[in-house]
Amino acid sequence: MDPSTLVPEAIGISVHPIWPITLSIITFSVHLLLMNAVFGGTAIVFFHSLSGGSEISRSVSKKLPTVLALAINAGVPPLLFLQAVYGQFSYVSSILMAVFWLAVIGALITGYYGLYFHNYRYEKLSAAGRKFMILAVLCMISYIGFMLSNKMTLMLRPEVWSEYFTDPKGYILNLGDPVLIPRFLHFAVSALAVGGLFVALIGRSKNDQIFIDTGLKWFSRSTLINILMGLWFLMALPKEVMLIFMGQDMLATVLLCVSLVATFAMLHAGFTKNVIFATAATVFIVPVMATMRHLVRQKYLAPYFTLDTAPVSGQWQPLALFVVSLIVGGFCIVYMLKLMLKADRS
Amino acid sequence: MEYPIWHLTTFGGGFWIAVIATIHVFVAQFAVGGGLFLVVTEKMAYRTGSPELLDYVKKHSKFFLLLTMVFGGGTGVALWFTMALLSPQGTLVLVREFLFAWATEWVWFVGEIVALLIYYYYWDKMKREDHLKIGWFYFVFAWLSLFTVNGVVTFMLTPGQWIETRNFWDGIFNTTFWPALFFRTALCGMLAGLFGFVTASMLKGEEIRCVMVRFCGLWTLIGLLLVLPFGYWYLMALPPEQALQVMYKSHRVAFFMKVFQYCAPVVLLGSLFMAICAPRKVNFPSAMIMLIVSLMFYGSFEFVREAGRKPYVVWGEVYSTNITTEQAEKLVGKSILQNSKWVPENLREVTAENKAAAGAWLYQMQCAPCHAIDGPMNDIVPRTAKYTVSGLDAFMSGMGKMNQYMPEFLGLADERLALAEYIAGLSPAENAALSEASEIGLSPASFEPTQEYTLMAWPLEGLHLIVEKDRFMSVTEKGSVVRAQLLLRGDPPEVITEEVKIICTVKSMSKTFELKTKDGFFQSSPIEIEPYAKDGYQPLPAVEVKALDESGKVLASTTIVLPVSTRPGCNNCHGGGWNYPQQGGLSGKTAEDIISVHDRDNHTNFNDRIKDGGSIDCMSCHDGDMQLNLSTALHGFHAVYLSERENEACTMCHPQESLRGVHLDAGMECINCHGVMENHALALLKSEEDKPAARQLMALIVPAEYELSEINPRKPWEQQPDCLTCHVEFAAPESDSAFNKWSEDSSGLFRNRKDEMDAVMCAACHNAPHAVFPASDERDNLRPLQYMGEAQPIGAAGTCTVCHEDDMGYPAHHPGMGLEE
Repeated sequence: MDPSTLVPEAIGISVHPIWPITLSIITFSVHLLLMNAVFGGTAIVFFHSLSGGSEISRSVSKKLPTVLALAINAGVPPLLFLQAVYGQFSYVSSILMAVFWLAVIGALITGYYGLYFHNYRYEKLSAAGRKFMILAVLCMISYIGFMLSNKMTLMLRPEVWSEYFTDPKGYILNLGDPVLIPRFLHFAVSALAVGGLFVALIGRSKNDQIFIDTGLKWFSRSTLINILMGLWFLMALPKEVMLIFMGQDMLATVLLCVSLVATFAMLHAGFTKNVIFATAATVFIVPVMATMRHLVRQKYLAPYFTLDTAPVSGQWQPLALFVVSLIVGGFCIVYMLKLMLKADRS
Repeated sequence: MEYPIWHLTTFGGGFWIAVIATIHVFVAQFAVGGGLFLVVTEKMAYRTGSPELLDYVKKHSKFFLLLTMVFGGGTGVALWFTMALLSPQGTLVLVREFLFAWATEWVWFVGEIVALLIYYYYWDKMKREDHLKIGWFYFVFAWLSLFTVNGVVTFMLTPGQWIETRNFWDGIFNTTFWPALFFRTALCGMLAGLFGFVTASMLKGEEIRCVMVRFCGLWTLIGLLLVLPFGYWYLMALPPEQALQVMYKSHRVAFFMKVFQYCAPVVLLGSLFMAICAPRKVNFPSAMIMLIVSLMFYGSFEFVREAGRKPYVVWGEVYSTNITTEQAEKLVGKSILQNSKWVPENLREVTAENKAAAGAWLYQMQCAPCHAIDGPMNDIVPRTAKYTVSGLDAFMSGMGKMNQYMPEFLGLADERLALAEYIAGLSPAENAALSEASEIGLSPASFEPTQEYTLMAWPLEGLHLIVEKDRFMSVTEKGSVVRAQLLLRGDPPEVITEEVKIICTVKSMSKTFELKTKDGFFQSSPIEIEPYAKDGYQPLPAVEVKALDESGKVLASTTIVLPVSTRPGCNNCHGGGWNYPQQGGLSGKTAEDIISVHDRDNHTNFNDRIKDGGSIDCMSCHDGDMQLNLSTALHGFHAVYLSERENEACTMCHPQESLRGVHLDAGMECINCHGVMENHALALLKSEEDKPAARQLMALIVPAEYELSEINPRKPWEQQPDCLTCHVEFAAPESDSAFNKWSEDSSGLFRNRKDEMDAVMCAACHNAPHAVFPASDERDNLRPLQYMGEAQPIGAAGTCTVCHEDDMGYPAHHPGMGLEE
């Protein structure tokens, strides 16, 4: 069966796709940083609770619900902009795995309440209760991450979509894709690194060296492992996609080199216990990775859809509305944060 | 068409979206009103200097955060997920048109979350005025979210000018934007009060509890009192077509309207009671009950509002079936299985082997978006249980026309039938099987060549169809009529109408009736004969007709059948089986359903009248005067469902045995003379075009092979197809279509016409219409067999001596009697 016959028609967009793609990369980077802080932070809390809990697990667990709130919030626009450009692929993969995909919400809400419960009842819960609670949350977050990896890879593979005809009830996952596991692990191990960085940042604000040391240990060791994961991921990619990083596409190749340099910068910062540099390198590498992720997607889908064929209606006013709202909203948020910092100082 | 469909059965019908959307919007609107409630209450606490009140606001803000941010935020994402899963095409229209409106809404959402987190975590850490400022920021951001989303949600219902301009601003500030915004803003206030009851009811101190319950009651009452007029404004702002849909068209709407009507006073009185009469008695369970009732109140409004959007998910743009209007236009007359992307290759064409699988797939494509199978949302099983396969097939043909809350079925006739079979298979079939007719043997009456008189008798109708349910509904006229002519044999023979008496004895009734003299013939009063007998169903019961002189001596006699049927096909669509199992008869359930449909579509109160002991006689209103003639109304209404079906359209309602005459053996069908259903109906409707109902129905029927202007109007029963259209000059037929050329008036009807000498009636020699000699059923041929020994029209092929003394050389009755050279 010709996979292209299954690809829905592109629905069109008001402005050139480069706008939503850029916005998607920016917001996805923010989402990734926050989400990884929650994912990795939860894993670290769990690890520490295995030995009965520590100040780190107590302190991090207090902050996780708030970071999760912001992470969910920052997850909205990348998904929105993805739909705007790649809706005809993204929606198909969601429908094919509908049951698992909708269950993500159940896991999200339960995990979210789980974090609050763990935090509010920390003192009242037994050590086993805390362990169980945070493990449950970790499982739910892992589930969400794994399902996202499934969805985002399944949307790139119209050649396997015909599986739908034997299972139209929404139980299809992309388990046959050799990219799935390394891709998920690459994200998951990144989460451990960012989680470690999150702990280190808490330590820095508290002036607590144990926090910094522990956090950066997680950060640098995970980053080291993640180099292997990244390599596995790269090699698992279909050859024509992998080759864009090997000189076929200059931007992709440069980004890969830049990310390697940034990775070594992260390792250096981690091993030298430089929280600020580690943070800067991480904040730098995430959008680079997000851009590479976009280029991979673009290459995968090239036989079916290219950005220059997307129908554009040319209505710019809505974009202007968004920019104005961003400025107004941004000012208000900055003002609110100023009030908050003022309170902190006092 | 473009997207795969998530195959759901029990939880189909938009279950997930209904549940998630209702709950999410309920909580999200609380998130707006509750924000204002928080900041106002906080200010009140500062002003009154009440530490208890301040403590309450703090606790309430925790409840607020956990409910709105966690649950509200999570269900908000869930709503997006579900929309994309169940309605990808519609969702992408919203993304395409309003990408940056959504993005703007996200900015407000960020502001909302940041404000709420600061508000909650900085109690006692911030200066009071700064904390209040954060509270106000929260409320403004939350309301701006509402403002933006409201534009998109109302667009889905009433896109207004956007349909033409495709302009972003026209889409956002559409027809119902403002009323909906006011309505939802008021609702937000009401919900703030109702959720406030919940937390206030848990306050320990009685005094502070009273204060807060009263305060929450005030919010609820003011909110509710504003919600009602704004809700009314909202519904009134709907374009007329959609307002009609909301008000009249759907059973579901009626149900939710009732829920709304019952819940509104409960919320009103409940909050009055809580706030004014007994604030001390308010406890957690009563507060929760109020909250649940308000959810029902609000949810029912949303369902009613949604009804105005049917059959679209985005009005005028995307149908609920995920097919855009543009795609639907291109699909007319084409196969949906062949033109959809996500159909298995082996189901592209319906065959006997794959019919069941194709039906199931078509169900998912065209029904599952709105209907569940044995599930809580719009369950299709009870809704279609009454239909037979052909009834369902007909119903689907009428979708989108008569009942506009459903989209038109798209696809070919064999695809529609496969779907009908699949749906019919979901519910146990009502036993509508019928036994074969089991007539008792009959032989012709005797005829002596020397007898002085010849008696011709025939039924007025080829088949009298009884459509009535005793005591409460009658569709057709009562009784079957026998006509007769007595001829004194000789040359010339003489039609006798005086000093004789014609009687007929219905054997099955053991009753004798006397025929009255008319214009050269005799006619019985209507005889209420039925086709039931101990031996089984007998639609051709025997009648013995005799001519007597004044002394009672029998001058001549003949035996005929008086065709009668109680097997109209109403139950194909109206359910109910048969009044007498395997025999026939309109059942009470069938009649009830017909009456209910009439009440629903025409706003009559027949059900009430029947409950009060009344009865419905259709002819009493449908007399062609104020209302459409009954035949016009029935054919006009049902043609919408039965178009493109050739003769099968006729036999859906009329029993197969309606046509038994020579034309049946010649391979002809109803449509040869009456035209196909759509043309037949249009001819009748055109004769009553002055009535709005006729014009409404005409707009829904597409003529077949004719232009509407070419179809000649025909008055039911007064005008019929003319035999001479085919039998030109009484000759052998030159064509097999008599459609569109009607007899001028009732005097020109076959049943009323006489020969060229104005003496012998057509039916005297040819029998009743639809059963003309030689008929395919031998029971109809008793009379020619009696007089001529063979089944032929009386007098045919030189059998003049049935009435004449000698053979005749000239066809005096009409040309073409077989006497010409």
